[in-house]
Amino acid sequence: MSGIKEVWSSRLGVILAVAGSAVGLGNFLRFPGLAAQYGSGAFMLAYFISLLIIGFPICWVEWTLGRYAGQKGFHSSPGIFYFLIRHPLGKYIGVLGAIIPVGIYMYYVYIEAWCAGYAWYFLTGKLSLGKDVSAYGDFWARFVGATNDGLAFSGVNNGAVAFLGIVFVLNFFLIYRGLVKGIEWFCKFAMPALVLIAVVIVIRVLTLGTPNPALPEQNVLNGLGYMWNPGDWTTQLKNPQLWLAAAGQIFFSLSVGFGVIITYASYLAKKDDVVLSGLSASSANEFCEVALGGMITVPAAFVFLGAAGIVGQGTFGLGFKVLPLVFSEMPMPALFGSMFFFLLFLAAITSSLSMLQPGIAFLEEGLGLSRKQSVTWLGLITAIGTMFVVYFSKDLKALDTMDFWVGTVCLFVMGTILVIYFGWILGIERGWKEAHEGAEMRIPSIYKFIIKYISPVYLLAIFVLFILFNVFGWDPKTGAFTPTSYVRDLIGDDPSPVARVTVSFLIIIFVFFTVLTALAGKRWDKARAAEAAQTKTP
Amino acid sequence: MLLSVGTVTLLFGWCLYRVLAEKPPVEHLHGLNIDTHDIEPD
Repeated sequence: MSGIKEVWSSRLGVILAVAGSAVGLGNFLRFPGLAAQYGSGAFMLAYFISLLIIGFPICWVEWTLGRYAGQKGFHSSPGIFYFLIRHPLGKYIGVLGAIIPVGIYMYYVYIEAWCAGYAWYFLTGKLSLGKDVSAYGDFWARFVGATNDGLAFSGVNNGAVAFLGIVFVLNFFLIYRGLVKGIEWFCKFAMPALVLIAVVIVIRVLTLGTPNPALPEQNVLNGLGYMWNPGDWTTQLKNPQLWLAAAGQIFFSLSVGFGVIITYASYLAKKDDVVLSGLSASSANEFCEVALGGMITVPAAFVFLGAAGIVGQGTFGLGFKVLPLVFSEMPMPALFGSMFFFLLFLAAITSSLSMLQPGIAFLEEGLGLSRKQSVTWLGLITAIGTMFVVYFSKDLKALDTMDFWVGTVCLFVMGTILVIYFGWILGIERGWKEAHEGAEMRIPSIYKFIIKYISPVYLLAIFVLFILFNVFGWDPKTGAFTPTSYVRDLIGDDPSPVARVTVSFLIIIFVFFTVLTALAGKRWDKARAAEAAQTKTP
Repeated sequence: MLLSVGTVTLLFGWCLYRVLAEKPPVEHLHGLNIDTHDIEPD
């Protein structure tokens, strides 16, 4: 257990920290793309149902379990599960909660560097590349090294690695400063700044009008309509992929199952509220996603490029090819372009910081390392992973592979474990009582039923759909299975060496953390035995 | 749009209000309980 008791200095601080962890690039890039793709009426219905059935419940579960285990001095996921499951193998369930944030950080920090780089290049006028989106695509491909492995380390890529170095050091500088002086302090500035900048950009977008009189249909009202018009509800609601997309977006957007919320909550005092705090952090994320993200990306892109400019663009296409063109066409491109990408940078860094704390907590409490030692070792481990991602940059294969296996599959597993533990192993009555210790509001009592029965079933159903569609490539119309590229890259006729090396790297990380957990377990067993002996001594 | 945006804005606003309006807990001095009696009128 950690010898140094760190606690949050204020409730607002922990809420902003958790909200910062949740609010990320997905709020401003992924959500708008999905909502527009599926027709937002049906999508938003599925989205809000998922928010109520899995979003809020799993948030409350993580906050509660984190605070519960934190009272016994456990702040890392392996430590928390060591405490929660009194079985020698219990702590190994928590290994996922250590690997997920560390693994995601390794590639997320690179994307964060792109945002910082784009903010700088907009400010210095280097991102006004004309009206052809392919010019922005070429710029981005050179910047991130998407055309060749190792390109990011060459001198021709506009300095992505330089931005990465700065951003990497900044993350570790802040995490070294600790919970209050580092994470909390930074989020107290970054989150309000993020919201303020986003509001300014929303106003800018909503006042765009019709920039090109020759294309009167490309106006901001039609842009909002493209994003928000309901479409064919009845047909879309029967589409399982819509439900998968909506539930998946809620799940990933709220950062549940990451191992982050459970760690952050472990630094709360016993009587600190988790119910209102959890709801506040989640609602902050939803505000940023729906009210801000939903009003910026797609409407702005539609005004300058029309629907054709948006269709088929994934998160990166929208964020780093389409939107740079959009902002460069606006009045005062340097100002608004740099503001937007600085906004994305703030969203990213508050998330990446949160991904480091679980690893720090594990090294401190599991191996007895000091903060300085933990920061150094975690810095080394993540630097190796990040360099791996940066080197194997062709088609972003390493990044994409890691994102799929760690940032998607593992999250579903962890989230399901948490909600089943809370409802069935700890027991819903005991969990409910624990959640309401010091609570500033009551969770509606129907959530006892939802958390115990509905959330696990819904989550498992979504996970099964995810495996069917995204792993086995199921076509519901024909019933045929065509394994997706993530599987073919590993075991197909034409496998990808980079994907195989990436998965091997992930397996090495998994084994490494499992070994560390075994060592940590011995330390915790000794501490527990010593505590038990002290208690027995008259 | 108005329903979705309005719902999340209201929820966020309500949560923010509740959190910022929280009063700090009243401090109690343990073991000290002064009970003063009103002075009886003459």
